[in-house]
Amino acid sequence: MQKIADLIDRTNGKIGQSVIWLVLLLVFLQFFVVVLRYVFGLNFIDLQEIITIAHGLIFMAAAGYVLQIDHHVRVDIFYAGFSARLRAMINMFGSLLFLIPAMVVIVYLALPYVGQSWLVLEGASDAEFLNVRYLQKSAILAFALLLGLQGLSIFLRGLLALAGDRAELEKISTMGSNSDLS
Amino acid sequence: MLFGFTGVELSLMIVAVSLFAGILSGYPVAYAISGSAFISFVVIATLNELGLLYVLTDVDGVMEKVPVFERGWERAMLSTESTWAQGVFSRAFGGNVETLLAVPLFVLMGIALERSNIAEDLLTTMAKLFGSVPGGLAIAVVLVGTLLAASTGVVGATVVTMGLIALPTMLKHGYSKSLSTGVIATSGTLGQIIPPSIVIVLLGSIVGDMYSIGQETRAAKLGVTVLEMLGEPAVLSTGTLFKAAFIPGVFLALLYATYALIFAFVKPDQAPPVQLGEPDPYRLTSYYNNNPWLVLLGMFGPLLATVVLWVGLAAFGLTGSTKVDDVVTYGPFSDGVMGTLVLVSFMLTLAWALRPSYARLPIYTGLLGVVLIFVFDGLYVPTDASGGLKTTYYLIPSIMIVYGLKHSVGRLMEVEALRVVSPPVILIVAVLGSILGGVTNPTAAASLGAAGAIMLAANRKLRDNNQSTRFVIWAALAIILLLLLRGNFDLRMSVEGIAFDNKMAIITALIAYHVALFGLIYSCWILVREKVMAGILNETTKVTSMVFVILIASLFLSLTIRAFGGEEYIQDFLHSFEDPRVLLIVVMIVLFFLGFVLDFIEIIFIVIPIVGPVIYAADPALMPPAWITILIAVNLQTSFITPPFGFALFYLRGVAPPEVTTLDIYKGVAPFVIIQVIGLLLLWNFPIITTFLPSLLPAN
Repeated sequence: MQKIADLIDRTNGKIGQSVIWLVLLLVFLQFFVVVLRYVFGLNFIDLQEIITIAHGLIFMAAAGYVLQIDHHVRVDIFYAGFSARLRAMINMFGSLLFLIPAMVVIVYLALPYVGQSWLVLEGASDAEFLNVRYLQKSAILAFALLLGLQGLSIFLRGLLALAGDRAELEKISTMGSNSDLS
Repeated sequence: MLFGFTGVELSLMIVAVSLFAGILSGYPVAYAISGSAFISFVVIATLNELGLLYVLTDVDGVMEKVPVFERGWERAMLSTESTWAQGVFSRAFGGNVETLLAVPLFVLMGIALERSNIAEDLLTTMAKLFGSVPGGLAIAVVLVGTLLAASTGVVGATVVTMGLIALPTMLKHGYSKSLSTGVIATSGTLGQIIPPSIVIVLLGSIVGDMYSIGQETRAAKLGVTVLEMLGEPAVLSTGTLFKAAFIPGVFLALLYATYALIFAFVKPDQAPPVQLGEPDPYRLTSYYNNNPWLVLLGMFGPLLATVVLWVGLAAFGLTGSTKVDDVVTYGPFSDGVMGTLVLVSFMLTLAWALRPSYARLPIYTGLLGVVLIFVFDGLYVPTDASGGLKTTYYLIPSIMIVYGLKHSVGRLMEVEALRVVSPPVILIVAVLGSILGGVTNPTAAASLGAAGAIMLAANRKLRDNNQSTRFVIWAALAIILLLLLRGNFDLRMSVEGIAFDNKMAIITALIAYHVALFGLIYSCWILVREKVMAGILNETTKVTSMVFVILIASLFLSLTIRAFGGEEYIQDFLHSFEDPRVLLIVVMIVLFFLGFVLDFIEIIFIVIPIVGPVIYAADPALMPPAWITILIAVNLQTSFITPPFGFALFYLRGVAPPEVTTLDIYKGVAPFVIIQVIGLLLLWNFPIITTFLPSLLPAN
């Protein structure tokens, strides 16, 4: 179990650490596009399209990683006062009831939609070269899959913690405090 | 029909219960929302199949039980199926993404300033500048909170930063715990209102649609088109919202500062003047015969004089253009040149006043250049002159000015306060100015802000290592040159038959552009080398993902509520209020309480789309949409600092030293809640506070 959870965490961590460089690409290209448009009156639709794709990819691919390092907002009015065991339970059942089913439904509902797009190799309407709308749509599947897996990892770790794994319990008790938000 | 409630009402209760149970459990909000949407869908579908959820409807005179999923749950699910996937896709890649792109860019700008310690320097320097005034440290916190608004759209970030840096300093110097915590919590959340805040960007992406939907509904009821009804299309841009938010935001900041001053006056021992750093390190007062007023006169007198001159010329119609019967006539002076001259002469005279012991020749030369350009502009150069003619006249005086500026900027940078404060302030003012002045849209301004923040961060790192910062400075100069060229020449490369002077300008601009781009790449490389970049990008990714996952998660909740007719039910209920102002008050109260459990982002993406079409359907002449939006923003900010549930208070609690009790924070923030309510009442009674600036400034 530990191994599966570790594998998932490593995968999501790697993906998260890779997509952060897309942010730099986004800043660069947007700067480029803005200067070209406002100073020289030149428009590059393809560049704008790349920026849009990068932006979508950043937050969709990083979602699992952000969940892993517990950086999504929690309302900790009660959570802050809970014991580590209770927190572990909440994380377990939250993943089992809230996260995993919703992600399964997304995959189930998005499959035909994305498949349709792949069948016709759908392109963007106004871009010249970058006709990869089918790839963009696949990002939805990747998003749901990575998040679902991360939910599984959280579930497994919760299980380990409740079964008496000290290290896991320690980890959970330090998670989810807002003071490390900065 | 259970307990006398209709099926739709019961379904709404099911959603509400599972939503609040999910959120309050402490599971990450985004997934609690999408998960509880899914669970309530399953529960409602089950009860629906059991025949427990229905609405009694009059069908041809017979009361019939119509189930909430009229055609069964499979159909309800299938009919939303394409909407789901399509919705996720368009929220991620389509529609408003161009506007929403401003979010990661503004976030990066703020984080780059924070991670490179520029924000911290700003706070310490402001504390030194204002510390000697009673209550001065509190005023410094208000000022920095206002300035750093860019990075602070997400609740928490600034509260945490200022709580870590300013709170210990204030407590150490004898400020009362309550004043310190109150001013930090409140100023830290003010960033939600003051542009460029990402909250306004997010609101802008939603309420624009709400306004046009609302007005269409109203027009349809009257049997006319929107254009006939309003005389203009129902458009509400993010740029307009930024302009609308500016005066209320500054106004609130002034109220906070005034409160701090009054507090210091009434209880001097709890907000004492503090001397941080050496007083008057440049011996200015002795130079000016110990008369501080002379120092102020020397610093700002010339600025005042030039501005008065400019305004005077404008009043006599000697600057800018006047339009009579479609014939545009230009005054002999141009506003652009006048603005530049005012700025330049201010910098020259400021250097003169602050560093009086240096040689005067460069200052005199620069000022002579200013006078020459002023005379040429008035006598020889018409406002609509070609770039070539302008160059002929202005080249030599410009060189004189550059010579003067080079020396004065060098001298000004020796003054610590200016060296620390001016770069981020110039960046923030430039970003804000380009949005407020209608020069660019928020996304473009944000990208310039992000690039600028990266360069500032690199500059700071190089300075720390005692390395040369010349590439960064060249890049900054190149950007200024680009802006000057763009203002005076036609730089469009796609047009046919480019005139010679424009061609030369384009070549110069291209060189400047490449210098700027090189500076940006170089800055990035410095930050990567110093191992700061990964942290900045990581943080930006986290915040961006956090915001946009909520955008997607909230879609599931909205669709579920729509599937059983809940949205229609709530809107019908809201429509039952005759007076739109009463309705708005009701919505505001509900939002205030929702602000205790939901973050700004969730409220924008879940609640506003449901109530928006109704509240934005009011007559814009009586209830301007920008005014409604700013009221909502200020209302939510108030909610976030209201004990005992306010979000900001939790964040502050998390970073406050242990001797500060939760009660101290509650006591400290209470007067600010009253200030917020006063601010809200003023806004409510004087909508002109929000509509004045957008009507005055050019559209984006």
